Amino acid sequence: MAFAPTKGKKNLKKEKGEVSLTSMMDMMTIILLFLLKTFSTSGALLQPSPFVDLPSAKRSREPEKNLAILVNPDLGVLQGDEDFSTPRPEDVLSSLAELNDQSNIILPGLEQHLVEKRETAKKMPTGFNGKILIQCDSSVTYDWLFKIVSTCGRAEYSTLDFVVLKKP
Amino acid sequence: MAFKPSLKRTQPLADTRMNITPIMNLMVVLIPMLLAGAKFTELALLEYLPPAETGGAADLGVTPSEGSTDMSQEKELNLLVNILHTGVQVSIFQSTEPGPNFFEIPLGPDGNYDWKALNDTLRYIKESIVGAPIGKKRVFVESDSTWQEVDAYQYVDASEVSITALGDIRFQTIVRAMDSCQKYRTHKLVNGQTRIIEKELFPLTVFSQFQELTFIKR
Repeated sequence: MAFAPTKGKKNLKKEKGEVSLTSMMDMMTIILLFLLKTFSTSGALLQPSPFVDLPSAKRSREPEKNLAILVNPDLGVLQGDEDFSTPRPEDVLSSLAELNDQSNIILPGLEQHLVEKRETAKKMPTGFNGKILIQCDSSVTYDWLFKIVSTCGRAEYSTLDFVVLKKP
Repeated sequence: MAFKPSLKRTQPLADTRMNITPIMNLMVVLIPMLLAGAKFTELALLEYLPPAETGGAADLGVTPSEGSTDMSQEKELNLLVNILHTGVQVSIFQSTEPGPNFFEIPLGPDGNYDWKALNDTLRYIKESIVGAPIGKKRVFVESDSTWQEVDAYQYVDASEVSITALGDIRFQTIVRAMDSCQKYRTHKLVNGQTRIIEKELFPLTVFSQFQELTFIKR
């Protein structure tokens, strides 16, 4: 049989157990300030595509939103304006067959898309600025790149911005 | 008759601690939201200027600077950077054979491209062959859609570099070459202190079709 509790224990006032939130508040304030400082709206302007492994560069400028295309070594040239998790056939502008065709340096599918976008932009109040964003995979070869650049030039896109990861 | 003793003496002090629970709630919401929007990989743009016939930088005439007499804008530098599997070739004045206007940069001892040597070669061309500006000219900057006044050199294409590569050279290599062609770092004495500054090399890049020049000897 257990002993009866002593008088001291019996009358002991139990303190209300409270978690001290002060240290947690300090920590959260620091995290909040750090995140607010590093928060940038430019990140929302440009999102890296999951289908592209971007190259890195030291010297580059701040991103801005423009007409976008993606270049993937396994899929070809894709439209980059809409987010998609799985590329649909209509997202492919120029197939691998077009890109590997040695007889032509202009990609018909990409050219058609760019001309359509150019004509649509010309009808808008902002007009056509001739700028295009290219998210190109780092493993894409020069002969593909040259065809893409030539096609953009043919479609009157005069400023080509390659999206890169900024090296510190 | 004496007054009734004040209750202040006996009344227990009220708990004056601030209720931080609502602030905590706010933070618990704000922190995951900011974490979701945080950029852990910083994206940037590498600008490419296509050839002039598709709308490159237009020259609006040159204003001579004081003391300069040579304003011949007809001369062309024709700077070409040729990327091969065995190294990088740099050619000026359309030179295709080894000589003072043709530079060969073989791969480094680690088997990688020697981008520093390319940057040094381009710096030599900029400083010794292109030389100092001879005046100012106005050019249309397509990226900003504005006219800007820039330095004019003795060669009309003094800010341009033509990059070409073998068909199977990867885009990452091209980007590194573009990087090396844009700027170089140098030291400058400012108020008695040495500072590292960046100077412009050949910021206007043009991709062109591969030309087979003299092969690099290893």
